[in-house]
This record gives sequence, structure tokens and C-alpha cells, in this order.
Amino acid sequence: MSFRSVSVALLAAAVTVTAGCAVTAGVISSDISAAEARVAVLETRLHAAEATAAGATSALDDAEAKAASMRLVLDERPAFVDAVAKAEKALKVAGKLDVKADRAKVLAAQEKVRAETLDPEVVKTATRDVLAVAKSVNARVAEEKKRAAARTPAGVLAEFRATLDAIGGEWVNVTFFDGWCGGKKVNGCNFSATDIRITKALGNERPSVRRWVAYHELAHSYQRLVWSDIYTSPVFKSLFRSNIELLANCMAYSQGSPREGHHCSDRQIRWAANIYDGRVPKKG
Amino acid sequence: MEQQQQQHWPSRLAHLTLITALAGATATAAVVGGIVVAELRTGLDETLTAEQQLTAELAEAERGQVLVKVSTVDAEKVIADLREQLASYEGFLE
Repeated sequence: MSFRSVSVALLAAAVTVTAGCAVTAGVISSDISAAEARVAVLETRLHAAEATAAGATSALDDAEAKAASMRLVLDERPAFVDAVAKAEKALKVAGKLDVKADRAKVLAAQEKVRAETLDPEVVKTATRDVLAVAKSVNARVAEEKKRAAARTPAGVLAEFRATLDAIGGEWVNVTFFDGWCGGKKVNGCNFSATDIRITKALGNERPSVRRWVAYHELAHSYQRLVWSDIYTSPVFKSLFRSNIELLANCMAYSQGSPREGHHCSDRQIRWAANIYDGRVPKKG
Repeated sequence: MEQQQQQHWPSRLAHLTLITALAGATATAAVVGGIVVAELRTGLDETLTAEQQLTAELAEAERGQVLVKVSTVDAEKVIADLREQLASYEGFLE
């Protein structure tokens, strides 16, 4: 083999090896470029998916938090419905009582509760409001029942008797009469120290008036125990202008009666109080 | 004849040098080419591995996304149900 042949062969080998490597490197580089392009696409998609997942997770968290709040509101509903049932029962037995405002309060509370979806405190407050309505109506119904009972003849008599017993009039009888007293129509009259009479219509008066009548008529009973001393008393003449009704009122006020009759000065009340002890002071 | 042989020596030396150089160049090309190709292959393998990982991560993210969306739909159904219950007049005063 000649040098020339060897040289040519080696040259060809060098060219072949170089070309082969270059081609292989080119193919691999091309593959790398293609793979990198795919990686870039994948990275973009992954970022987009992660961003979407984050948004969806946030929305899910919001939805779950909202659902939790709504459940808390719903948990308060049975107590509210129970309060409404109590209020409804109270309103039903209210009879002639005016409960329009109470009903309106319950309806307003109901609307607040229906509209509220997230804050359980709103329902708790509404429950308290409705229970307060029920309590108020029940109290008024009870008061009205008491008043109605007092308006029956037996009730009127029993209440008057109880009042007399409580204010020192246990020794005085009380009965009904037709209302005629000394030529005038009245609800109470003192016929003697131990004989007070009242009308059935006294039950229609306010409680304070009924109590004042008891004090006033009992004062006449005490007056009768010192009747002549009173009528001959100069103080009675000057301080009370001989008005036995005024004196009875001033006596009543000295014992704590509601002030439903004449006005009395402190001086008159102080003097009048002595009559209960059987004394008619010479000085006023 | 001897003179003719003496004239051939420089030419042979040049040929030997050329052959040696060509042999060296061939070997160098083979080694360098082999190294370059090997490095490129490593790079390609790494890129392909990264692609596989990203593909797996993307699939996982998309699966998670679907699950979250399903859960959100469920939660919204629950909310709708609760809203309906809250809007109820049951037990209320008429």
C-alpha cells in the first residue's frame, strides 16, 4: 500500500468521523431543542394549571367558609322558631288587648331572620326580641285577667275587703249598695263606723281609685269614733273649713293612699293623721 | 540509483508526517466528537427527564384542579340547599 493510499484513507476516515460526529451532534441538538420547546410548553401549562388550582382552592375555601357560617345561622333557627311559637301563643290568648305593635315586632324579627344568612348573632338578637314580646304580652294578659277578676262583683268585694284588712280596717264590714249616699250617687259610702258600702261599678275604676275609696271610707269610720270632737274643733273649722270629706282625704293621704281626691297641705295631713289614734289636737 | 533513492527520502518523510497528522486528526476528531456527542446525549437525557417530570406534575395539577372543581360544585350545592332552608317560613308567624 502506498503512502498516498494510506493518506487518502486516513483523510477519508477523519472526514467521516468528523462528519459522523457533526451529524449525530446535529440530530441530538435538534432533539434537545424539540424537547426544550416541549418543556417550555409544559412549564407554561403547569403554571397556568397551578394558578387555576390556586384560584379554585380559594373559591372552595370561600364556599366552605360561607357554608359553615350558614350552618351556624341555621343552628340558631330552632330557638327562634320556638320563641315565635311562644309569641304566637301569647298573641292568641291576648283577647281584646291591642297587640298590633307586638305582632309587628315579631313579623319584623322574622324578616330579619329570613334575610340573614351569615351572622348568627342577628338570629340570637331576634330570638331575644321575640321572647321579650311574648313575655310582655303574657304579662299584660295576666294583668288584664286580674283586672277582669276584680271587675266581677265577688272580685270587687274581695279586693276591697283585702285592702281594708291591709290598711287597718279589719273591724269594718263591707257590703254592696245601690250607690245612693246622702242624696248623691257615689261608688262608696260610710254608713257607720263599722258599715262601709260600695257599688259593683267600683270595679270599673282604676286600681288606684279603688284603693283610694277604701282609704277614704275607712277614714270616715275613724272620724266617727271621735265625731263630736271633730265637729267642735276650731282647727277642723279653720284648717279644713269644716269639710269632712277633705279631712277624710287628708287622713287617707297620711296613711299612704293614692292621691285621687282633694289636695291636702302637709299641715292638714299632719293634723289629720291624729284622728287614727283617736286624738283631735287643739292646735293645727 | 543511490542518488535516486536519496532523492525519495524527503518525500517519504513528508508522507509519514502527513499520515501521522491525518491519523492524529482522525483520532482527535473521534475523541472530541465522541465527547461532544456524549455531552449532548446527557443534555438530551436531562431535558427528557425534566419533560417527564413536568408531564407528571401537570397531570397531578390537572387532577387536583378537577378535584377542587368537583368539591367547589359540591360546596355550592350545599350552599344552595342551606340558602333554601334559611329562606323557609316554616314555624313563622303568618
